Amino acid sequence: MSISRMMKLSLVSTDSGADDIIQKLTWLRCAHITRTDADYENPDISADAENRRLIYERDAAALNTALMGLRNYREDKTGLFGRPIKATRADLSVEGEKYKSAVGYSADYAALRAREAEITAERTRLRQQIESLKPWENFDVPLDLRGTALTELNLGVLPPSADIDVISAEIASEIDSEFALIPVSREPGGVYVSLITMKDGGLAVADELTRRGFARLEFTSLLSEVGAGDGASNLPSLISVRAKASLDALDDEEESLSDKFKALAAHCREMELAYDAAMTRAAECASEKLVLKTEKTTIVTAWVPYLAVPMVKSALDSDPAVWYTLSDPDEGDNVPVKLLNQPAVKPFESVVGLYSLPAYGSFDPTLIMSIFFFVIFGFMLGDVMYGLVLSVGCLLMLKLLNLSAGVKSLVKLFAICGVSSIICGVLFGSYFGDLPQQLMKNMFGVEIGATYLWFDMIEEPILFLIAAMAIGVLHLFTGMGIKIYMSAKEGRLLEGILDVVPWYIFFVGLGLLGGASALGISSTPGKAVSIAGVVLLILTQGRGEKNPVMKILKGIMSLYDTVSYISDLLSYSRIMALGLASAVIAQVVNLFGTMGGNTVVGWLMFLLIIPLGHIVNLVINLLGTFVHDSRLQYIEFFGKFYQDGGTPFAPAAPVTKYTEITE
Amino acid sequence: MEITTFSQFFATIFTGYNLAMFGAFIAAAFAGWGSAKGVGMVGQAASGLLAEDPTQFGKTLILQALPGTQGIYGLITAFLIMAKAGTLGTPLDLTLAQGGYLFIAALPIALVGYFSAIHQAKVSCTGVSLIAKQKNEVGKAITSAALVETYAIFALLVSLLMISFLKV
Repeated sequence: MSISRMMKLSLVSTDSGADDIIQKLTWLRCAHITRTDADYENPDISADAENRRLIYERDAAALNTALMGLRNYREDKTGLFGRPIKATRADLSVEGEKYKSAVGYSADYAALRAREAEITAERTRLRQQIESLKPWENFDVPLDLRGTALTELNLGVLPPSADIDVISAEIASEIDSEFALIPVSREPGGVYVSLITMKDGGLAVADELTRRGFARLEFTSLLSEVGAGDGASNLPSLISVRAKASLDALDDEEESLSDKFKALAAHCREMELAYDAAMTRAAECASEKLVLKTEKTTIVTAWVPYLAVPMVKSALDSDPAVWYTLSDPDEGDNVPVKLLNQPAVKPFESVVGLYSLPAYGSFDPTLIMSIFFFVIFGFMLGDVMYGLVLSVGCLLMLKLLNLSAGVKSLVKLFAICGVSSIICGVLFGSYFGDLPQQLMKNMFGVEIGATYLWFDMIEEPILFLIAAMAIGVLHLFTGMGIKIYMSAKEGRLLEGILDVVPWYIFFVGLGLLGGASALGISSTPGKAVSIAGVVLLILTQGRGEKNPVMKILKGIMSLYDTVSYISDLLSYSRIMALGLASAVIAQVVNLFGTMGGNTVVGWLMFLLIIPLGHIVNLVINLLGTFVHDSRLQYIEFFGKFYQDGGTPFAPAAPVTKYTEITE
Repeated sequence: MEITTFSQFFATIFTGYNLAMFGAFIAAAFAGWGSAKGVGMVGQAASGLLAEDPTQFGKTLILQALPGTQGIYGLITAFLIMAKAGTLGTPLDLTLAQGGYLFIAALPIALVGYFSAIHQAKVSCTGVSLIAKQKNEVGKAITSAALVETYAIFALLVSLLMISFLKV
């Protein structure tokens, strides 16, 4: 339980390129590379590194797109159920043919997808073509025929209600020019007609027709699409037949595309490996931007955890072109923070990390916090069966699923906290709430007593509230105790004691007073201790002032802080509220689930309602418990002593999204 | 009893038991209403972020669920009132004073639940924009929103204690 001591690695390499030494550090996986000179960045080097980084990131993005798109074509398991690829450093190289061919597959994938989009567009176009030619299927004239030497041919549509004979007769009576209006087909959208007029005088006929709702149809764009054939090939029915044939060909091609995707999907493992290689290389290029470099030398600065120093030394000592020093941090250095904890406590680091890591050189609260987190979790979600489901479920997830590091740590946390639920469940006699009692009573008519070891939280809420407050007092007192420890570490032990101990005395006095009145015994000791606490507070809390009057005034003012301590303490009543919330909902679920009695319907209801209801209750309360348990740590506990603002230790390391390094 | 006068009608409606049921209704309805509004608000804000980056779903889901708890507190209060009044078994013949007491016991979580859910939703919405800019700061966004919930929890506590202290 501590913050790892960090050593500053200052290194000069006379190897030709910066990438060699950066790669070496990356594969050591324990050096947090930082900018050597905060104010100076060599624009040439940084632009060069940036360009290379962009290339690899582009490769990685293409590979990622291909991997995502091919997921449904794969036959091996992926995602949560997949298994990482075992790889060595040599496998994660961007040099060899393997990498090139994998990137090639991703390009193939992009080309196939592009072709797929083209097919879709082409198909839409052909369908529209067929649709627009439907009314003309029986029209035996090529579409590009515009007339003869003396006549002109026009195609068009009249409103659905139009009567061709009537219209022809009307126009013939008005205009002295030969024409023929020939119906081609009648569709719901209108009457499709061909109009043959004489070249001279045809205009007047067209005008008259237009007045009656005639709209001329042009097929120029369609004709330009199908290309100019010789006369007969432009018959509407033939164009349709050709379009249908093209559609069939497109369907065939699409089917073959699916096979091609399947064939590409067989290379997914190679692409996954290449993805990690590309991302690793991109990360190395990003690190390169942080170093100082001339043509012949490279200067790197990095932070190395004290425990990793021997490993770094052995790796660097063998390199004749490298000189380095390892030293403790200087004043003003922004030292990254790495927490060191036992495996059982390590998952709780993620709770601390969600808030903010402690500043370098301050105190790692993880161990002490984990104890309180564990206990409070159980009080908020105290049920044997919920705890079992949680622990077993989380252990199964860890065993069966391929989780990322962050999620893994949370799942481990819940697996541990499930044990706390089990313990508290035994204390409060909760097994899926009061399922045993309700089941026996409503289904079999047998009353069985409560099963608790300590007390029933629903029957005795006040006792539960007192227990919650007691945890709160312990939690707050511990936080204040850590403050003394931290003051002592900074060489201000007396200050720390004077800040905290008078409050201890005061609160113990108040506690004695409360206890005495509850038990009906003499309150004198409580009074004496409280008054002693108050006097000590008045005498000590104003010690920073020079003026004696101000000293006393400030001391008296400090009594006002009592309010903030009380509000901190009241905040722990949420333990009781959340504990009751999960218990009461469980009770209601049990009531509904066993309401049907010992009948077929009753058992059906039981099988339906009990599992569903309890799963919902567990999920909702798990969220509430995690959030509020964390909050009690952050606000009430950390508020007493915590120095936050640590930068997380993020060593340069190969990216292993799909791989597991085996070296 | 046959109802012949207005006062008889009044006496049939305003029983202690019905007053208690009205309290259960108020607790479940108002706290649930606030939660529904709140969860909806955060859901809308979250969709904006998810349109850009669907991988943030897990984080926004937690923020969206936070204002939902007030509705649960209202529900718990309603159930406890019903349990006290015997709704789930044989209804008890509560006096007017007892019914009124249970009604008043429902008010803290009904009122505070409604308003705190909406205020919490506002903080959660800004939390969503915080995640949009700083993916790793979800812990801070959740903590800020959880601070608002404290007061709903206090109100629940008052309602629960009031209900559990009534001797029927």
